[in-house]
Amino acid sequence: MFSSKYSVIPGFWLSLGYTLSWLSLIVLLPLAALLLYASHIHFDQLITILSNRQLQSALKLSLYTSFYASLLASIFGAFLAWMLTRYSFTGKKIIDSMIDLPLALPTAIAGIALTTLYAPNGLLGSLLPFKVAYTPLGIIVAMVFVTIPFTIRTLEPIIKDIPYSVEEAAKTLGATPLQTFLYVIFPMLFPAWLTGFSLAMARSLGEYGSVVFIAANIPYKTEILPILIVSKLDQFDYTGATVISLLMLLISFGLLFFITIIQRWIKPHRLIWFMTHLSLPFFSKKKSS
Amino acid sequence: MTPIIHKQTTLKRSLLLTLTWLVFGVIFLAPLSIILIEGLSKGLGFFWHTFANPVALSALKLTLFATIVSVILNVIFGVMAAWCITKYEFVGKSLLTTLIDLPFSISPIIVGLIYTLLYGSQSILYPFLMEYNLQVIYAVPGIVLATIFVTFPFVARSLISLMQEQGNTEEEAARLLGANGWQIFWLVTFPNIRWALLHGVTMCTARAMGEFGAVSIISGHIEGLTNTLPLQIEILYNEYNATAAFSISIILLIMAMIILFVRQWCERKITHVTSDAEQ
Amino acid sequence: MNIHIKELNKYFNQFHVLQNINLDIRKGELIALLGPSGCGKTSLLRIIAGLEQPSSGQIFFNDQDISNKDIRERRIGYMFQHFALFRHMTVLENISFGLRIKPRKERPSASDILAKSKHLLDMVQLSNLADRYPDELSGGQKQRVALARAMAIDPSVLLLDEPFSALDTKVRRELRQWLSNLHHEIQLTSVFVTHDQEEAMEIADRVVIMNKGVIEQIGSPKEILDTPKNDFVYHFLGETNHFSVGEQNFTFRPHEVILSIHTEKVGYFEATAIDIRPLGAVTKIVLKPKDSDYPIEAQVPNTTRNLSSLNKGDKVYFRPIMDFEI
Repeated sequence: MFSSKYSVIPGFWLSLGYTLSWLSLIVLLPLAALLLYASHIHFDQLITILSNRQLQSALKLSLYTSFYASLLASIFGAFLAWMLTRYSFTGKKIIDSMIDLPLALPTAIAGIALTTLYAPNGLLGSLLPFKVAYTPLGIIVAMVFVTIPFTIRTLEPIIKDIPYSVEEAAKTLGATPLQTFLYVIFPMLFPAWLTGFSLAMARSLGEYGSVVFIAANIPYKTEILPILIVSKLDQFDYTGATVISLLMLLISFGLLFFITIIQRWIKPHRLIWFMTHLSLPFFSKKKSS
Repeated sequence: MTPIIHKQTTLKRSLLLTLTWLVFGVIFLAPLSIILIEGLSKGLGFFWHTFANPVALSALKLTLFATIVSVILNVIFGVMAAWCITKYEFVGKSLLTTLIDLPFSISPIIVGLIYTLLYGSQSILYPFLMEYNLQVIYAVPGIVLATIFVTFPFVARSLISLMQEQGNTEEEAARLLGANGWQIFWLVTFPNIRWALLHGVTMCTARAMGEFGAVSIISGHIEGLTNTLPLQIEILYNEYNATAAFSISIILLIMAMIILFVRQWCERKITHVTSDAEQ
Repeated sequence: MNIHIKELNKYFNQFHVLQNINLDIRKGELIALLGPSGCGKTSLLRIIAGLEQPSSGQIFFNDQDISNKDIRERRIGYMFQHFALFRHMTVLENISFGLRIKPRKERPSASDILAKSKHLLDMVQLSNLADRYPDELSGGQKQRVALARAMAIDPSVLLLDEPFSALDTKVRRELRQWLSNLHHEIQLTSVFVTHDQEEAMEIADRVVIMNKGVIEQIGSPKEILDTPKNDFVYHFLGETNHFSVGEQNFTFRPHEVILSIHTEKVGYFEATAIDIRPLGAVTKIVLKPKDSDYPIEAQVPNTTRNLSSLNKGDKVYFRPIMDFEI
């Protein structure tokens, strides 16, 4: 019944049974506990928690910092991915092998390192004319560090797949470098870029270890949602923590859904259609000349 | 191999390269050098002294224990899940795949919370757990469970993508030649997936030994009992003992580097195998 | 061993991929399942092997119903399209696999296994490559290893899925002949799937032509070529020309035409030569009939008289030899 196609390879029930049991025990059961706990929360309680000013400012700060961090990470990431696939230069191997370090390095270490680096008396912090550590900017810096590998690694295979001859073809057809980029390269990269951006944003929203040190947890100023959950838990306010968690889950599932939509709907030809209908000024100028 | 841009003016090229190194230097190199500079700032003697401390040693032991247990359990799960998903067609397969990936999109803080809700004092399971004297929260089992949760999809993921590419014909051929399930797995499938398995293990190890958010909620920070290395780093840092915190960080940084090195080595091995399959 | 397939049906979701298949394969025969892609030929082969289960119907091996038998009890020698060699094992290890994994009670001694594998290696003429790995072999060598591996378990029947499709043209021709000779030697009941009619005609004792899940015709290559049962079979076996004048319709192969440049005889039609291509033994001439918009293709031996004086744009008269009228 469960198996819709016959297979001669043995082990279906064993592997499916084990997978489902382990999945339920580790992932589904605890999530069910969250939903069960949430189902006991009264509606007016919910309203009170959600209308709390501290929560609202944390939500705003979380969205704001993770959006800008993902934007920066995906721009720097795209630049590094391009350089790593299209250029060869000495030291490229070193860069390439260290791109994944933020994924392997414990987040707490990233946190204390960045805090020390950007503190007012730190190596970089003392050079900069504005404060980074203990401000929202510091949060963004930490988020960029932990998410930049995602943006690079989603773009790299796509850039590798664009043969250089495509650019040459555009050139032989008389396209300027800008036109080549806008009509050939950009539409091919954009879906992956957006996927990398969304992945980075989902990760940034939930990031704690690297952010908690550099943020210094000043309510209304540098308190993001995960930090707020922790402070609720320190006060044994499980109801408040549950509501904020559900809110965060809702946002990250929204982002995941968005990624799926991107992968299914945003295709290069759709982008090209969209861009030719934008009638960008340089395009019409080229036409008339 | 890498297509090199032709007719690139040297000025433009050196400008781009300078920018590359600048971005790389600020984002990647600066934080790493800070770890080394700070960790060794009081000399090697102090560095070793940090580890002579029994509290640090017990944190190291707990980190290793949680990492090893979660890696082993995730390997078993990963192989089972990948086998089930790549070898058979069944209703609900894509839902199962999504659920396996689910832990990646859940914040570690939320992981800490849901395990506290499930096993903590306000849970309906709590009286039952107390009856058998099973302490999960603020104890080692809770730390291990949270670590398994945050590393849940790694092994399954690396195996699924490779096994899907490789297809089932070798297994079918073995079956036709008379092999049983156990022989098919150990003699035919396993030799083909071992690098992907190790690849999954490296990422799983890295994440397990570095997990901070989820573990920090569940551990209760009992020094010498439920403190892992990352939590020990936090405590030392907050006690204004930054040098000691960075000393421990150096050890974890070296472990992370080794893990990355092994991972890249695996990746080369894996691409080698798949390019054979295409021939 | 003879194989008897009775009223076999197979559905994939909504698709009826095999429709009421009845087929008898005699002992020692070499049978080709021929048809365009998606005709169900590979599904039929996989069902005979036991890799897939039929939705209904029965399969008999020597009058014994094996429809519900485990795949391992069928003792099938199966060769996959891309050979499915175990890439982490050497050639010798690949070949001996089926013997090494037998339960201890049935397993031959290590020296017997080695002797038998060596013998198979000799049979496929690869004795010098015993310690190579599959990715160090050429396509043709891989195919022969796959065959030796399949033969190691003393199969009751040999099933080959597109055995030559992964090879290049020259190797394909050589191996085709080699396989045919080998079959004559060992006289093992064999079924192979192909989409290449030339391949099927060249080595099969009998050809089963399939289309959209049904068997269109079963017969020896000569029977099928001489008396195609229907339109599909006729078209599938080679290039065809269509030509109609008034009520008359002609369908004929490019070589089934006589050309004339001299006179207007009875039964000849006027046309213009629009392309002339010498192809070695034959010359291909594309004609544009006077009363038709569709060009037809003629192939004549290049020993044909006056062929050399024919130029593009010249008037030519043609007559279809065989009138396969529809």
